[in-house]
Amino acid sequence: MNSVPFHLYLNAFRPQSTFTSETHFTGGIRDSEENDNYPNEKLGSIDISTISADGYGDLTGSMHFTAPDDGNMQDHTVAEVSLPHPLAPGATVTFRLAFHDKFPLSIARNGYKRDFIMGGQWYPKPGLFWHGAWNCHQYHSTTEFFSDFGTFNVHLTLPQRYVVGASGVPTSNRVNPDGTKTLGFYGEDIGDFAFAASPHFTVTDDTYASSMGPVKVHVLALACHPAAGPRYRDIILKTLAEFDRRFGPYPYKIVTVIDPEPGSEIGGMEYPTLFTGGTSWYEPSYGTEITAEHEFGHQYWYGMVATNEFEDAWLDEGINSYTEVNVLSSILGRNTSVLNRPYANAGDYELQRLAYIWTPDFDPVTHWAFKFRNSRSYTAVTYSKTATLLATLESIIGRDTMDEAMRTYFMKYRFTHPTTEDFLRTIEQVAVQRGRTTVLPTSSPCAGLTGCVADVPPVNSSLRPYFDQAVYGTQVLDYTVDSVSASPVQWWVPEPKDKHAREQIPYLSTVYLRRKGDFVLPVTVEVVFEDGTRLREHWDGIDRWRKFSYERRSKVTSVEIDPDHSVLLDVDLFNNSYTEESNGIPARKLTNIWASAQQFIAQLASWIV
Amino acid sequence: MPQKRMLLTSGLSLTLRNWPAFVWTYVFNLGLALIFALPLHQQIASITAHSLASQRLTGAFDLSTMGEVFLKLSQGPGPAMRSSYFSTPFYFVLYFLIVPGTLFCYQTGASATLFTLLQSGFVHFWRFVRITLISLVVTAPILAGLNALRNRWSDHIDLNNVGLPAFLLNLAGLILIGLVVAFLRVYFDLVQVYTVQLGLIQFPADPGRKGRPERQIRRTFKPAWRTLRRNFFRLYLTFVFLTLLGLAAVVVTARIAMHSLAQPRVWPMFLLAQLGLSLMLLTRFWQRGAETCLALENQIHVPAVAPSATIVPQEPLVEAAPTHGEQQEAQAVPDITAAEPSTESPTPLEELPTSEI
Repeated sequence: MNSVPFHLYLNAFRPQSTFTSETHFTGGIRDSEENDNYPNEKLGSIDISTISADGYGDLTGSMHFTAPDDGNMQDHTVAEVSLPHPLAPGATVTFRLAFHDKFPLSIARNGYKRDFIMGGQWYPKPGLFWHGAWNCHQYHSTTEFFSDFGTFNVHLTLPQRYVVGASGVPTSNRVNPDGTKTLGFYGEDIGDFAFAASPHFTVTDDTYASSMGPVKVHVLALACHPAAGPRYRDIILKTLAEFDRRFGPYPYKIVTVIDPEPGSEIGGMEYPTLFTGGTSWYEPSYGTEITAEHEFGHQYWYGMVATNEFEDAWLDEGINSYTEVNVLSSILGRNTSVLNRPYANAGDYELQRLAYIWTPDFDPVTHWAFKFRNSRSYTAVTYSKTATLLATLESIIGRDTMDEAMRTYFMKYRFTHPTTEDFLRTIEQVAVQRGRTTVLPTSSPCAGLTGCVADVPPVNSSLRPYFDQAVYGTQVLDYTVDSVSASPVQWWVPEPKDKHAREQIPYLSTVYLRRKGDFVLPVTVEVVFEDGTRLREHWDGIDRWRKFSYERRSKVTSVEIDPDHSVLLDVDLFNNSYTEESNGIPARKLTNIWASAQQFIAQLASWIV
Repeated sequence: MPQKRMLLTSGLSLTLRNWPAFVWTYVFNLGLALIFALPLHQQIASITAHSLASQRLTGAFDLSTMGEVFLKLSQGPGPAMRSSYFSTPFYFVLYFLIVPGTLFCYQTGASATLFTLLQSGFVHFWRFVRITLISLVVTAPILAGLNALRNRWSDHIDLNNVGLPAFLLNLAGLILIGLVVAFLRVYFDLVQVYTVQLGLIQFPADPGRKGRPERQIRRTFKPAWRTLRRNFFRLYLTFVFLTLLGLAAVVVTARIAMHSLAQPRVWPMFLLAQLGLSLMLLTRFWQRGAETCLALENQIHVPAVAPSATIVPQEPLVEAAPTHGEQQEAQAVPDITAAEPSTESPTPLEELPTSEI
């Protein structure tokens, strides 16, 4: 090893950086600099004044910026230190750095807003030596982070009026004579260290008795959000219980919830044992709960199962979105986990699916995060498609099998850095063990794939075609009931008008199903007849269409593909069914809303006259 | 000296007596929205009518299902959603015709038949277009300046306030802008009222004069300003009150209608929404009525020119309302000719028939 790279994330907040360029041209998931000027208050920087290593001396002169992703030498978010002589395998080295940070007015995930400060990605963080090479990507508009586990012993000196939350557990609190105080924090087996401070935090504490001992739930909510503290606390206590039961124990002694300053770009961000929520002084939906649950979930999928968020973003954000919809469904109800009102409702499952079908097929979920077409595709695919495809997978292998696979994955890979194949093979193995999938004769599941470095023995199961299409591919799943018809077998004989007489004559009912998309998935079809008979048929979905015919003394009244509503990946649920009976209410409802809105707009516009 | 009456009651009385004007406008407002929403309705029905998935919008109101319908509409080939927007410009054009017709009926007592409304609308159409353009020219820089100030105010709030206080302070800024907009609207409403009043005057032929004075809207700016200045609080408070009343009607009925969303029937929501929208429209006509009452109390002053200036309803409009009563009303409009032509002082118009105001 001849060199060591460091992330210098705060340098991203400059107009020359790749991060700013990407947000300007293709949008970002946080504040996007769309204007043609870059405000001074949004400038951030991190300067390393000296760097030395024990046994190597002063290395400051050997430090230089690199740009491994796009060659932008003005980026400055990765610096490399060349070692005068190689570091031998198994040897250790200690670096000593002096650096100075300048936090920007918040743009993404850190910085300040009014008298609030979020210290995230604030120190030179070494890259990760992984699979025989350094993995140290530049900071991009959509990507998050990837780092090794470590031990942090941090002391922060701030004005005494500030209340501080930080990664790890608090260890000391010393009041200084100059009106400041110095707080100590210590964290083990965590991949990052972040802190937040505000003079307006109010504290709401509670304790959760986990299977590994008590966990302190430490909520720092802003005084301007008086309802937020109890709301954060309640949802985190319930979420801890759900995660403990479903996936495994939360091993740390504390989880700190930070209520970020309104108007900052800091909400909804995860750090080890600490995360930021997102709420408002008026929050009639479950937005507060959804954000808190989602960010807590990262403690498992980013914090402990520390996947590479640059190259396998779906393993963190996507799996976390899937567990989010499941956990919130348990706590708040499947169809009401976003909004639960007597007059309207919304569920997280369906809203995730809606976000996916908006932009379903530009990128596969396995794309590197900064190689997506744009931030919209990144969000739709990484978060929402993953949640949707895993929910669909759940229906294929069964809820219990999926839960066990997720638990196995978490327990096996916590405190490691697994890959896509590690995850998929874990699912295959559990599904095979439970008899929910079969092993195919051909061997390598990695055929045709690059970078397949999983340490799980290959299982080429019958789930592979699903993974190839849903995970590695961009195929779109869309099945439709193409046509339904029913007529007397003796069609040349006039149909009797009497209902009872009609029930005595045989009808030939024909149902045509069609696969409109290029995603092939076996589906179940439910056919309902006038006499109440329900038949379930199965179609492998390989051909483009399939015909079902029935000769019965009853007509077909409705046909539904996926009657259990489990194949959420289908991009059009409306064409999945056909019923003879017409229902005009939905169209009238929506048209009424639309027309009333148009009337209102027209009346407002006429104020010009 | 004309007697001062309460603008709210006299305006309402005038509006109700000319109820067809409001009703026709509402019919156009609703009718155009429905007509232009028809293709959209058909397209939505083609998605939902025979699908079991739409049950989530029948006995419930699932927002994600609604979102999927509109996503499909936006991705589909049909222009249904786009075409539904055209109801607004069509209504806008009709409104240009109905407003002058309404003001004419308010001031002359002519029956507010659709024919009268539209005919008077056509007579005044280009005058009202000119007023609108002028109002936009005047309003735009004022609003731009106010908006710049509001942005600075908003930045100041953002630096120092959060939560509910920040919301209220931002709202206060918007309300201030709204009050200025209301002031400008009141003024140009008065200009419109006086423009119609000016059109009722028969100016004597004057070979030396360029153009037709009854069509010169600039002659109404000063009277409108004078009337507004002298009756500011009386008129402005009435106007603001009615604006708030209309908005409140929409908000309250929409809030109640929202509770019908999940019901497997549409008519309660439809009726409630229409009640709110019609009340909002009614308050706008009520405002016009109040402004007309004030303008009739403070009639336009016309500089007398030889040999005389006469205010009468325009001939075709009297013909357009040929009932016996209306003919009597038209004849009842007094000749306000100044006895002695004078260039020193303006000649006041006498009051229009009080039975009609």
